[in-house]
This record gives sequence, C-alpha cells and structure tokens, in this order.
Amino acid sequence: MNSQILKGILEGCIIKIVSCEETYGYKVVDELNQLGFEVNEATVYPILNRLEKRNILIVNKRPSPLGPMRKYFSLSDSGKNELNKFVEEWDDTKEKVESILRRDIDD
Amino acid sequence: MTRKSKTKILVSVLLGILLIFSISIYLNIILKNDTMTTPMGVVAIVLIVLAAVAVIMTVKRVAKTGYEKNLEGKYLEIYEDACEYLEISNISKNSKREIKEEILDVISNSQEIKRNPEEIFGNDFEKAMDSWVISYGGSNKKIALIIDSAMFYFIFLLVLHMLNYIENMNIDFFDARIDNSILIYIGILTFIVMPIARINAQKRKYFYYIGVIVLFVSIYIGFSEITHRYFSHTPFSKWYSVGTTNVIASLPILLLIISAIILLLVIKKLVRKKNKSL
Repeated sequence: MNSQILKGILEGCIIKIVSCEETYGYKVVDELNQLGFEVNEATVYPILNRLEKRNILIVNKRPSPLGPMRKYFSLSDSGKNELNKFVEEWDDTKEKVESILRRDIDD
Repeated sequence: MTRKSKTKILVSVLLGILLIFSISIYLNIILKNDTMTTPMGVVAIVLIVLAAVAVIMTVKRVAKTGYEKNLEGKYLEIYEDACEYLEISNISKNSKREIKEEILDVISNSQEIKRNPEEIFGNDFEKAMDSWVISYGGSNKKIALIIDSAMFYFIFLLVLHMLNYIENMNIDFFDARIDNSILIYIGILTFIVMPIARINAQKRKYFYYIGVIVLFVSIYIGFSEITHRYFSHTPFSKWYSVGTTNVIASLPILLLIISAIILLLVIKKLVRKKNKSL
C-alpha cells in the first residue's frame, strides 16, 4: 500500500488503540502486527511522538519492568475529537471506495 | 564492551598520546632555540589538557551506564549504532536523551524475548533512524551538514589565525598569515571529508568512516610532497608550498567571521525549532 495512505491509516489506528487503555510503544507495535499491519518500532514510535507533539496523546513516563524509562500514552480530549474525525473520514472514504469498486464489479 | 567501543577508546588514546608527544617535541625545540613565549606555553598546556579531556570524554561516552549495562552481544551493538547515529544528528540534547531511552526500552525488551534486534529498524537502519530523529525535530541532513561545514571552516580560520599570531607576537594581530596549503587542507577537510565520514558513520559503514579520513590524510601528504619535490618551480607550487594569506586582515573581517559563526548557529537552531513544530 502507498506509504502516505498507510501512515494516515496507521495514525488513526494508533489513536484508537491508545483510546482503549493506557499503553506504550512496544505494545502498540505488537497489537498492530497481530492485526497484520507488519510494522516495526521505527515506524510506530515516530508516529507516537508526532501525536504527542500535537497534544493528541498524553504522556506519562515511568520505569518499565526491565528498568529503562518508558513512555505510557493515553488519549487527550483533543485526541478524542481527532479519533471521531478519523472514524468519520474513514467511513466516508470507505463508502466512496466501495461504491467505485462495486461499480467495477457491476460493469 | 563491543569490539567497536574498544577500537574507539584505543584510537582516542593513541591520538591523544600523539598530540601530547608532538606538542612536547615542539616545546622542546622552541625551548632550545630560546624562542619560547608565555602565550605559546599557555597554548601548549591548553592543547595538552584538551587532548587529555578528549580521551576522558571518549571513554565516558563509550562506557555504559544504568540499564545499558544489561545489553549484550548484537543487542548492545545495535544500541551503540543507534547512539552513534544520534550523536551526529541535528537535534537537541534532550531529544537525543529521549530517543535513547525509547530505543533502550525497545532493545531491552527484544533481548528479554530473544527477538532479532534488526527487526526494530527494518531493512534500512539509516531510513528508520532518520524518521525517528525527524519526529523529534531533526532537520534535513544535507542542510545540517552544510551549516556544520561552514561553521567549522570559520572556527578553524579563527583558531589558526590566533595560533599564528601567538607564534609571532611581535607582529600586529591583523598581520598574522595562514599557509595556503593549510587553507586548502581545512577547506577539503570541512566541506568534503567530514560530511562523507559522518554520512558513512550513520550508514554503519565504519570501515569507510575511518578509511575516508586515512585516505584524505595520505593524499594530502602525498600531494604536498610531490608538489614540493617535483613541481617546486611552478607558480602553483610556490603559491601552495610557501605562500601565505592574510585572511583576517582587519577588524570588520574578524567581526564578519564571528557574526557568520553566530548566524549559522542561530540558523541551525531555527531549522530544528521549525521542524519540531511541524
């Protein structure tokens, strides 16, 4: 898939994952891979950092069980709005794409 | 400690010893000739202290602290590669620390579950680190390299001018001259050799990293020697071998160079700030 489209979709998915519970980067990567996205930390961590900078995610730093400091992410109020916006946009896009694809099949 | 770390410490110690040894020989010669001045002595002591500090800093930088000590083998190697990449990136110290923490956490986890650490960065280590650094406001590498090269060139000019003045304190400050061969040497060093070496280091091509510096020094010495021995009668050879240039010939030029260094520093910070807000 085009990397720009994938990045946009990944961003929405990450916001959704974080909205379910407070989580950290490594776990987000794991969840995305279980869903079949095939991503690594070098893809996900920069997205998390950008979302943090845009105040969509709130960060709480504390040591991980293995010792090093770890960022735990949760969703901010503006993050909730961003998630709603993503869901609306995704539904809209999905509908448009599906209608075009259906038209191809009907033809 | 990895083999790379040991090599780094060894090279640093050797360079330090070499520098201290060269200064000692130089001091010995000028003491014998009775041409020693107080500023020259001060500069020599400062250089010896700087060499010692540089060695200590390298050892300190290579030494692992805290949870870094728990990393082993290929996990430690890839962590060191990431740290090396960060060291020469155009981001703030805080951002470097934060990225290091993130990477340490991820690699520690990978080690715990025995996952291949290369998977963290995918097929392209450099690209992966680039996107990590850019998310923290790291600027375009090419712009950062050009700014650094220009800044180092101006700093070298200032330092060389001052050293030449200290060596000949009987002349006016603005009459100090720099050898033309040295001007060319630092130009090639700052604008070509350093950027190539840095790019190779970030690509994890350490052999090329050291190789490009050794090659440059060898070519420089070879070229100077050939020019001096076989082409000494040509105008270029005369200009190159014995010619000097009065680069900082007046106060306005001195102020211009200092302003250029400050301006380049400000531009570097502004680029970083702009990227951070994107």
